Amino acid sequence: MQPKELRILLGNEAISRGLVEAGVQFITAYPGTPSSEILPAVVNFKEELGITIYAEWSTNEKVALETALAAAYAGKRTAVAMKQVGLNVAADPALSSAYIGVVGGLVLVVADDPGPHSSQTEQDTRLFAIFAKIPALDPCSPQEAKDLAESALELSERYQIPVILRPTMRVCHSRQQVSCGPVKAEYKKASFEKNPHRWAATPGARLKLHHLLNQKLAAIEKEFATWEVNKIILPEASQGNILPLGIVACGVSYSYLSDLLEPLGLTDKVGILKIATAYPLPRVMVDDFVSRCSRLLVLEEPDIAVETQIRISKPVWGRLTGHVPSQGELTPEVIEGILTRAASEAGLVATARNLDPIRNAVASLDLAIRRPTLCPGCGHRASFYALRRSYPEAIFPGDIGCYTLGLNLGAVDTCHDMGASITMASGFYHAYAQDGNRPPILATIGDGTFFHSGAAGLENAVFNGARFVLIVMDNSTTGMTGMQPTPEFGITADGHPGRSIELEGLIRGCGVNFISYADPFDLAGFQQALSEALMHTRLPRGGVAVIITRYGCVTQLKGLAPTMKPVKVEVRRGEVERRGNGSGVAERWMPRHEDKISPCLEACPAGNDIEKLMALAADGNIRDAARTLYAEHPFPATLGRVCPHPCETACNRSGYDEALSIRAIERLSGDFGNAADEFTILHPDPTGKSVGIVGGGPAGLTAAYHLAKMGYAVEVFEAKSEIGGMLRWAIPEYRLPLKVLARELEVFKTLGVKLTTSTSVGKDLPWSELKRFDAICLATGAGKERRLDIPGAEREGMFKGLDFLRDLRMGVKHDIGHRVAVIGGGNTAIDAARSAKRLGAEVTIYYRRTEEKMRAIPEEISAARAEGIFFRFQVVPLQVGKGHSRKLALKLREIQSNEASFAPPFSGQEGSPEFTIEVDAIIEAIGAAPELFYLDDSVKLDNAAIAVDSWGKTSLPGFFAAGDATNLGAGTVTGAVNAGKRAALAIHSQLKGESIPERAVRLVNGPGITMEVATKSEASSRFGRIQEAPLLQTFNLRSFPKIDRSTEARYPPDETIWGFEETKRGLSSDKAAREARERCFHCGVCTHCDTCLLVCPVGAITKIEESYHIDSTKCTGCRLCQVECPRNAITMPATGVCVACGYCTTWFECPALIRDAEGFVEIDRRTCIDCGYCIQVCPQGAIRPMETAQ
Amino acid sequence: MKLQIVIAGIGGQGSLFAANIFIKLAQQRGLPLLGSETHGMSQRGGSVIAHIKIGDFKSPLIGQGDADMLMSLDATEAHRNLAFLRAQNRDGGAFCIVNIAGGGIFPHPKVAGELSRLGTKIHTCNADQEAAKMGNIRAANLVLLGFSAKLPGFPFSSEEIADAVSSISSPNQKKPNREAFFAGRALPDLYVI
Repeated sequence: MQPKELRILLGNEAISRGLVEAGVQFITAYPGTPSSEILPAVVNFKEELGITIYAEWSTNEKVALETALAAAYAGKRTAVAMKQVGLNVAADPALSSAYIGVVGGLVLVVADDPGPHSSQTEQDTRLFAIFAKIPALDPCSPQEAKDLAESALELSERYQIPVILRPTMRVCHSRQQVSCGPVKAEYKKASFEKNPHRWAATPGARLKLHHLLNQKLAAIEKEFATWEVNKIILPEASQGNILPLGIVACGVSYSYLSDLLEPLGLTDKVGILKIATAYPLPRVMVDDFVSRCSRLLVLEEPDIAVETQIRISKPVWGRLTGHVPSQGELTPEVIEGILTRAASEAGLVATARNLDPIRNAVASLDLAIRRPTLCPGCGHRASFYALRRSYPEAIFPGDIGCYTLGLNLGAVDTCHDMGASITMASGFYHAYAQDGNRPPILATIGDGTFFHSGAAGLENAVFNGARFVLIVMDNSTTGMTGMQPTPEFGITADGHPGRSIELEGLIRGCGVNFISYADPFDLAGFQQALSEALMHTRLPRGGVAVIITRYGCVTQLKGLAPTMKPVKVEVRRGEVERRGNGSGVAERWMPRHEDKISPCLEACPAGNDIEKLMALAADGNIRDAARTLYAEHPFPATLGRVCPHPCETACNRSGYDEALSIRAIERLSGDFGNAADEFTILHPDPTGKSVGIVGGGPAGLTAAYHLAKMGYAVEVFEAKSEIGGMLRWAIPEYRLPLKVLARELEVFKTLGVKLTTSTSVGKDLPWSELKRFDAICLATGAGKERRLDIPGAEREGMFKGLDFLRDLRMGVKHDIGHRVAVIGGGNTAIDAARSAKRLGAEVTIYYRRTEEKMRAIPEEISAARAEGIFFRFQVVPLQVGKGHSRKLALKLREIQSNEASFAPPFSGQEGSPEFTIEVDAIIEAIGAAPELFYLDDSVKLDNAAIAVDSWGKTSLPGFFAAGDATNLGAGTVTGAVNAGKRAALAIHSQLKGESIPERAVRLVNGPGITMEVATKSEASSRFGRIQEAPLLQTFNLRSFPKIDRSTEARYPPDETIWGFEETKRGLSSDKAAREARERCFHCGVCTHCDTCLLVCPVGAITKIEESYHIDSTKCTGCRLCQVECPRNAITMPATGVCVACGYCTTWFECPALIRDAEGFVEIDRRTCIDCGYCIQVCPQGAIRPMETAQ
Repeated sequence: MKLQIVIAGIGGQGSLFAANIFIKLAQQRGLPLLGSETHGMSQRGGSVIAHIKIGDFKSPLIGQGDADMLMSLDATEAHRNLAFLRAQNRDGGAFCIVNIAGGGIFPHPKVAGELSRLGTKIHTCNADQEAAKMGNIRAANLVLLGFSAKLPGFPFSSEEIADAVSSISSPNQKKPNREAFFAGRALPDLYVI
C-alpha cells in the first residue's frame, strides 16, 4: 500500500482520486466543460495503481447514467460524470433512480458553471437534487472535493441511494495540494439479485419505494448534521450574544469568504455556517445557527438551493431579497460588495477598498472583447464560409460543439441543446411548408453531437417528411471539450475492446436516402454538393439530404503531418483607386450589371436571339418565342428542321453536360406560330421606295421579308413556278414537308410582297427592267450542277442530283432500279441517296475523300448510315459503261490522296486498284455553281460568282447580292438567311442615306446579328456594349445541377425508309419548356435570380422595379457579386490586389488574417498554418501562393 | 511567503505553460498553492487568464486589488487585467511585466496615472521579437520568464526558474526552452519612466 502523499491536482482530478480511493469500479461519462477531466483522470489513476476499473465514454448522458445504474444494481461501485445541462439529458433515469436506489454506491458528479463560462444556463444542480430527492454535496475546494467524493460513494452504498456530488467550475478547474493515499475499499464482484418489485417497480410499488426514499432522506439529514464539512464558526469574542450578522456559506463561496474576512476587517464580527451538504439540509444545525444571529446572509451559487430551504421569521438576505445578484458568478469582487453592504446594514463596519479609479481607467480604453474563433486551418471554417457564401438567405440551425462558432461566419442561427440542429430544422421546415414556402434550410451538426442525440431527431425528420440539408461535420473527435473519442473513432476511454460505428450506416438506418460527401477545402466542389443536396430536398421523391464532410481536427493533428499540403500565401498589394471621400472604391472599379452576348447567338448565322427564346419557352410562352424568331427571319419551322445547329455546338452547356436542344425548340416555335397571322396586325409605314429581288430562295426571301417589314415595296422574281429555291426544290420531303414550307411562305402574301414567278431575269425579263427599282438584290443561288467529265457520262441512267430531287418534289419519280450509286459528299449527295433509298433502291455513296472531309451535315451522314446506305471513301469514278446484269457499269479507282479532284489524270495515282460495279442508276452530286448568264458586265465577278463585300454590296451601285450566287457563298439555309439579312440592312441604310449602324458593323466578326441590335437605338439594345460571349469557366456552376437533355425523338429508320414522311418528331411543348427552364444557363444575361443581391456582404445591391441598383456609398469593391453570379452577367474584372474591403476578415475570420490601419490585409505568420484556403476566399484574387523565390 | 500572481495572454501563446512554471516553483519550495485557469477557450483565440496563489489561501481566485504580480504575454490583455494589481504596501508596489510584441504600447496614457498612483513596478520587453530571432516564435513565454528572472526584487531566482522549466518541459523541448529562457534574461527593459 502506498503511503499518503501530497500532489497538486485539478479539482476534477481530486474528485477522481477520491472516487478511486473509495473503491470505484465503474465510471461512465460524456464530455462537457467543466467536467471533462474526471473520467480521463480515473483512467490515469487506474493505470498508475494497477487496479480494475471499467471506464466508458458513453454516447450521451442518459446512456451514461443508465449504464452505470445497471452496474450499481449488480453491486459495483459506480460513478457518472457530466456537466449540468447533461443532467437535463439524464433527467429521466435520474429521477427514477432515487426511488429505485442502488446496491453498489453510485456517485453522480455534475459540474455547474456559474457565469456561465461555457454553458447554455447557470442552472443549479442542487435545486435539481431537491426536485429529484437525491442527496447533493457541494465542495468548497479541490481537497474537499476529494473528501466528499469518498464520502459520497460510501454514503451511497450505505443507504442504497444515488448521491450527487456538485462541484462548480472554480472547484473543477482550480489546483491545490491534495493528499493522496491507497485504495481503501475491497473489490466487489457483480451479483445482480432479482427483485422485480424494485428494479422493475410498477406505479403501485413506486409508492412504497417513495416512502422508503423519504425515510432514507430523513436519516441522511440527521447524519449530515454530524459531518465535519458542515460547521458553525463563531467569533470567540461574542460567546452567547446574538450576532448582528450570520453568513451561511456554501461551496467555493465559503473559500472566498474565508480569504475576504481579514481584509474587510470582519473576522470575529460575523458568524459563519459552512454548508457542504446542500440537500437534505441539516436543519438542526441551521436552526442552531439561526438562533444565534439576528439576520442572515446566504452566499451560494448559482441559485437559491439553500436560501430557499431556510424559512424563518428573521431576515434572510440572499437572491430573494436582492442582496445577492440572481445571475452571474460570485467572484471575490462580487462577494466583497455583498459583504460590505450586508455588514453595513447589520451595523458593522467593513474596511472596503475603492477600486473604481483603476476600473474606470481600464473601461475608458474600451478594449474589444476577444471573441473566440475557430482555429486557423479548421475545416469547420471552410464549411461555414461556403454555406454562408452560397446561401446567405438560408436558415441555419446549428448545434453544440466547436462548430457552434459558425456563428461568427453568419452560418449558425440557432444553438439550443445537443441534437437540436436536426429537430429544429424539421420544425422550421414544417412551419414554412404550412404556408407553401420552402426556404433553404441548412443544418449543421458534428459527428460527436450526432452520436449523442442526432439519431432520434433524424428518424423523426424522415418519418414526418421534413426536407432540409444536414451537413455532418465529421472530424472524428469531440473537439470542443478536449478531443475525446467518438464511437466512430472507435477507441474506448481505457482501451477496453470496443468497435467503431460507421456514421453512414447510422444515418441510413434513420431512413435517409441521400448521403453525399464533400471536401469543404474545395469551395466549388462543396458548392456543387450543396446545390445537389438542395435539389434532392425539392424532388417529389426527395427528403432530408445529408452531406458528410470529413477532415481531421487541425489542433488534434498538431505535430503530425497536416492532411493538406502546406501552401504559403501572400496578399498582393497594388494601386487602389478610392472614391473621393476615401471609402469604398472608385466608380470604374465597381461592378456593373451588363448583359453579354450568349455564345449561341454569337454562333447563329440567322441571328436568332436564342437566350430570349429560351426564356420565353421556359415559361411555356411559345407564341412570344415564335415572335422572337420572326423578328429575325420567316423560317423557324424550316430552320428548326434543317439547320446544322452551330448554336448547339457553341452552347456552353455542351462543356458541362450536353448542349440545349435549341433547334428543336426553334422548330416547335415555328410549328406553333404563324408569321402570316403576326403581320396582319403590323402595318409597316410605306417608305415610297421599291426593291427588286432576283431569286426566290432563302437568301432572297429573307431580304424581301425584312425589306417589306421596313416599309419598302418589294417584288421577287423567281424563274421557277413557285418560290422557295433550295427549300422547295432540293431539300427532300422527309426533311422538310412541303406543307410546313408552304405555311411559312404565306407570310409574303400578308406582307404584300409581289411574287412574280415563272419569270427568269435575262430571259423573260430584260436586265434593264431592274433599273426601275430603287435597289436590287441578286439572290439566284447556285443551281448549275457540275458534271463528271468521264467517258459515258451522258448515258441513260445518269442523273444530276438537284434535277433528281427537284423532280421528286414535283411528283416525278424516276425509275432508278434497285441499285444506285451516288457520287459526291455534300448535302445534295446525301439527300439524293436517302431519297433513292426510299424509292426502294440499295444505295452506295462514293466519295473522293475521307468521311471527315465530307461537306454534308454530320447528322445527315449518320442518318444515312442508320438507314442502311453504304459509303465508300477515297474512290474516284473513271468511266461509265454498259452493264451486263444491270444498266450501267461504273469503273472506280481507289486512291490514297485525300484531295483528288474529279478530272483525270490523277497525278501520282497510277497503279492504284480499280474496280467496276454494276448499277441501275448513277446520281452525280459533285457540286453546283451560280448560273450568272443574266448579269450585266458591270457587275464584277470573283471566282465565277458575284463579288460582294460582307454586306452584300456589288461593284454596281444600287445592286446587292446574297447567298450562293456570291463569292461568299452560303452553304446552308441558315447561311442564306444571314446573307439576306445583311443585304436588307445594307439596302435599307443606303436608301435612307445613312451608313450601316456601328453596332452592327462591330458584330461583323460573328454571324449573329439580331435586328434589335442592328436597328434599334442604344438605349433599348440588349447587348449594347459587349461583344464577347462569356466562357463556361467564368460561370458559377454550383447553381446548375446536371440534368439529362431532352432530345427530339426520331422515328426508327427501319420504319421511315419506306416513305417520305418526316423522320424527326420534334419536342413536345412540356419537354421544350422543361429543357429551356431547367437547363439554359442564360450565358451572360441577367435573369434576375437575385444571387448578387443576396450574397453582397454589405447589402449594397437592391432591386428597383426589376433592375438592380448598386449603392456606391456602400459597395466596398469586394467583387463577390461577380464571382457568385451564375452566368457572368456582371462585369467587374479582378484587380488581383487587396482593395481593403474587409470581406475576408469579416466573413472568413481566420485569426491569421489581420487588417492594418488602412484596412489592407496581411498574414500573421505566427498564427497561419499554411492551409491555403484563403486563396479561394478573396474574390479579387489578391491572396495567392507565395512566389517561391524567397 | 504569500504571493498572488495573475498570468494573462491569448490562447496559443503559452500562458498556461507559464502558470505551470509558477506551480512548479511553489512545489520546489514546498509551499502550499491554489491556482485557477480558463479552460477550453485557450485554443480558440480567446483571452486566457490564470491565477496562482502561493501560501496559505483558501479560495482559488485572486480578487481585484490583490495581485502581487501581473505577467502578460500581450499588451491588450495586460490592460484588460490591470484592476487585479494591488496598491503598494510596505513590501513595495506590485510587479507588472508585459510582452509588448508587434507594436503594442504599455501602459496606455489613460491608465499610466493610476498605475503610478498604485506604485506599480512596470517592466516591458519585446519577447516575440527575441523568440522569432531564435526561430521559435512560440517560446515567447519563456523569453518573458527569463526577462522577469533578472528584475530587481523578483521573488524567484534564475536557477530556480531554470530548474522548473527543465522539470516541466517535455524531453525534446528542454533545450530550446532553456535557450529561450536565457535569451530573455539578456533583454533590455523597454519601459522607461
